[in-house]
Amino acid sequence: MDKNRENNYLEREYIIELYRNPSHFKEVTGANLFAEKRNIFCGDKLNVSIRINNGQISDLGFNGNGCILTVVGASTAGDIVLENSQNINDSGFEMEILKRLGLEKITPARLKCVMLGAETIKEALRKERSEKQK
Amino acid sequence: MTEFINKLDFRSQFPLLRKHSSLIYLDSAATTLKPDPVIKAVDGYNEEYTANVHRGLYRNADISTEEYEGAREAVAEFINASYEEIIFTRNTTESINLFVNQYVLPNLYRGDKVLIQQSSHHSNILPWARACEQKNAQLIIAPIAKNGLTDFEAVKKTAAGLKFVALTHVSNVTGEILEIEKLVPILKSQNVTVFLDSAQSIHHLPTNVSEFGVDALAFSGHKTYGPTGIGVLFVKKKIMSKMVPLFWGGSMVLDVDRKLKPELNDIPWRFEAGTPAIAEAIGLAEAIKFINRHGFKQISRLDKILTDFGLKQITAMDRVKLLGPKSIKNRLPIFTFYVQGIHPHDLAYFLSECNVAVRAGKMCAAPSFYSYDAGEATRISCALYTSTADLDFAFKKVDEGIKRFAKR
Repeated sequence: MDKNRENNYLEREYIIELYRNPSHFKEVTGANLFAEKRNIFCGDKLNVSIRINNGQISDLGFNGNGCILTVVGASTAGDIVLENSQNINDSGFEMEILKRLGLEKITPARLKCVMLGAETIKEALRKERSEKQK
Repeated sequence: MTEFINKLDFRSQFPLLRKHSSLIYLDSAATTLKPDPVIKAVDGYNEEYTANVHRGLYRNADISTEEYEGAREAVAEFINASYEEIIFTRNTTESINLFVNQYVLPNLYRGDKVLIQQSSHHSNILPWARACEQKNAQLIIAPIAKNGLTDFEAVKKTAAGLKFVALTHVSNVTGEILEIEKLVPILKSQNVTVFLDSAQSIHHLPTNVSEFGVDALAFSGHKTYGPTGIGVLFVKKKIMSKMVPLFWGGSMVLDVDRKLKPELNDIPWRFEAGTPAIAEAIGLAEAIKFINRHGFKQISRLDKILTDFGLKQITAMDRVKLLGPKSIKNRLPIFTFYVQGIHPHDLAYFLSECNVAVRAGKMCAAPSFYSYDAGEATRISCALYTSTADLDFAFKKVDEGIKRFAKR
């Protein structure tokens, strides 16, 4: 078994530190988009509240519990979205999350944990698009 | 105490533990490891006398039929049942579904009462819940009391008027040993049909269907040192003879006439359509021999040592909350616990990095967790090859994990 295949995230101080003090786990005042997503492997659940001003995401906040990878993944996804540096529907968005966390070799099962926050944001935006189309 | 366990040297009897000498396997409630004779028996069928059963007229066909039916005899003797009362299935889940679908459902009517336990595995909850839903029957759930045990009084109160009861001998979450010797007589005095899930108890506690007084019982081979793919359903002859087969095809009929009317085989073979899990049944018989060689007296002594050791360790730990009874009297060495500030998947991953294999999640028993108002947990579960040193190491690592990455 390749012990490095997940880059043993528990040995990385910056990941533990980010887990203990993540960004964007907060209430968002004036939020107008909401979504909830569940990790089908373990049942962990994240809620996201997003505030959109003039078509731009101006703030977002998560609520929920998850493993270390879920929390740091959501925190990093929030950072990238607010920087507006990536199209979130692009594969580059997920790669950027993994790159920033140094988790490029994560296994498929744990990738679901890392991406739960990103998926929750996407879900909120999908809902908004489908509302607009109605 | 530790000397007693070390003297037994169970680890050396399990090839996987010989191969992975540093592995501490603490997920035996999910599946047990397989000892040498079981693996040898399965290989023996595949390498030396492969043949289908109940068919061929050549030597190997005779041997395989004798071994397969010998396995049925071994199972029957192990639980003090008759040979004809043993149906081989794939696993406990299939056994329960077979019993519920082919006996409970046809005899269940609107308004009938069925009792299940909150602490049961999904496999001993969902088939019953579905049957009740289909027939508009009343499903009653025996709750887990504050002491971590199934609320005995609640069961007793509902006994009158019940038609079926599905019990779990040992909870796969809390390790609770249900006092069936006290409970079943009360239920039987009310003419209730009693089913018992023995998946977690079968290799820890002696099983005697006649003493227990149960009407049906199920367990899996793979949780009792045997192979995967083989399960057992015991059903009293009187009840089994009223059951209609679920699967139709080869083996389960003696003949088919010109109008395609089948002449059913006798019980229990009419419930085993198609080629059965021959090698696996033979492996299960070896697993039973393995258990009998060590004996329940020794197994029980080991379980008590492990339970006592585990309870003392776990209850002394900060941030750790144990589910289920805290007394050695009512439980087996199955320890499910929360660690404040650590997600169970992170803990399980960390332990895995330390060569300790544990389970994390809801253990396929979500209703058990509703008593504790919390999500998932971590489970340590023991078998013959577990030592107090294994538990000591695992709990030390849990403690290390708390220090290293728990949320403060």
